[in-house]
Amino acid sequence: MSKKNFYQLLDRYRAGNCTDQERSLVEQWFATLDEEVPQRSTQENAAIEERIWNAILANQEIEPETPVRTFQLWKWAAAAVLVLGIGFASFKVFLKESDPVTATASNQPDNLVTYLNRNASPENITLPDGSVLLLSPGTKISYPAELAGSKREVYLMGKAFFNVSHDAERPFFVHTGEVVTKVLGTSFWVEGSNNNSAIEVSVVTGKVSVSKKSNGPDEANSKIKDGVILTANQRVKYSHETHAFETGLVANPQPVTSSAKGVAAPESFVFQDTHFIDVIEKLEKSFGVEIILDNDAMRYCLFTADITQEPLFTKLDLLCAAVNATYEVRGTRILISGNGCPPPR
Amino acid sequence: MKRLKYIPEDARAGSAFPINRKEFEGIYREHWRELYDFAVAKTHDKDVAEEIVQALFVNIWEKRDQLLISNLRSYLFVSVRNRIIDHYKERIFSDLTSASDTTAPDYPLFLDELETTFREAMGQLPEKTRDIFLLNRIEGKSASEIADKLQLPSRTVEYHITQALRKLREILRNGITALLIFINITF
Repeated sequence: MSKKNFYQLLDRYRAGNCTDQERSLVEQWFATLDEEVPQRSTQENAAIEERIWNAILANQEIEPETPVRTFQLWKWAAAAVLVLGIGFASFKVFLKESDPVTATASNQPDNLVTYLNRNASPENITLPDGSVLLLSPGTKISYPAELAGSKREVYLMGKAFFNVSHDAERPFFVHTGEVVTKVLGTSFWVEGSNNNSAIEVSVVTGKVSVSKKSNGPDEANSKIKDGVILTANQRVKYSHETHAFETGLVANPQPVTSSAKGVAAPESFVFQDTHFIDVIEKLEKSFGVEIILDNDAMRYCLFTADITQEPLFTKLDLLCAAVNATYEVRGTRILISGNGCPPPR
Repeated sequence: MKRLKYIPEDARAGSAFPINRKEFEGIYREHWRELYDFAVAKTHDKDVAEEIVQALFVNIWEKRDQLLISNLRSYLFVSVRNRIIDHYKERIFSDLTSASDTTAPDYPLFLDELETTFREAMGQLPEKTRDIFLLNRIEGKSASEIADKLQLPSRTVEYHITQALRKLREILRNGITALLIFINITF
């Protein structure tokens, strides 16, 4: 039987890393699935509508807006386990979208210098304005020869690390398919691959704004909308198929203070009977990441350890283990849940 | 206590997505039906369709701080579509573990066979219908782009696409060869 193969086909398709042939086969198969939907009466519709709605409500505490909403909201958020990747596989045919790659090409101005990294290893290149790029193998970058003018605009296909020279007068834009990244600070990664998978921007230092390319060829670039602003250690994925941005944290957040100054001694994280809240504040400050405690009583907990060497998420593991709490990354923030400790007498 | 406040999503430059419950409910009420119908048409199972719509909205509510959706309708449809495919995946998977499915044929060979099956089915379509279908499905051109290119009214193009889908379905269902897999999976 070829069920196993068919499973593999669907699996690869959903993982978003399939070939054009596989994509086309799944799409053809999907197109043939349709069967007529039986007619329903108004009453039947109303019954289904309510049944599904009640099931949604039962699944999560979706409370009406009240001043305490946040607190409860975080509580259920902590309990929730359902984190489904609403897929980043591509559905070009379904949405009848034009290929983002060709879209980029057609929107590019003429007279661009194009550089392609044909090596097997990442390569450094320096742009005329002094910005330094680390291009991954197979990555292509195009830019106006002088990079002059009131805006610095480059076009990326592939994955690159940008270290942008500071020039407040002339903002720096990276165009990747449907997405424009405007640099408000210094260094970050952009990944916009050649196929239709997601575009991903991760910020190392500074601040960038990521938004959709405005519609219409002549619309001014200033009309940036539908975008997110990212600071250090945050990342955003843009999906071509859903046209949605999803924010989160990078896999291994780095201290923002040291990476901004280049080579610096690693900040020490040595705690001796330190109040939990102070530990959290130190982590927040040095990683530029927001940490939320869902229980006020956690502030009374004390923590003793040297966690200087560990990556952020290991630090949090150790911290949480010590006070019998758990943490999870919710978007660009970290939520810590636990019962806390009794207040000092 | 500083940390217990709700932090507004200041990362939103232009919010396209509602976060309060009332708006959330509004989206559900407005879209549930077409999403449900889409899921029923593709899965042929009302219970599964209900589950899919429910799970989608639960997920949206949970992720509402993280999502910035510019085209809500297409977001909803693509999400339902993904869940439908996942549903089939799970069904095949549960079949796999019980059945003795030890010797799977070569995967590349399987892909080629499947492609041949589709191509042969395609060969049975009237020429014009096939051309339009290929432009639409394989080259990814929209109906209006095809209409421009072939100098035909959009409605005619859409008609051919619908016809192609219907006929393909018939041909593939009656097919005897490798198409057994579809029959097993789909019915």
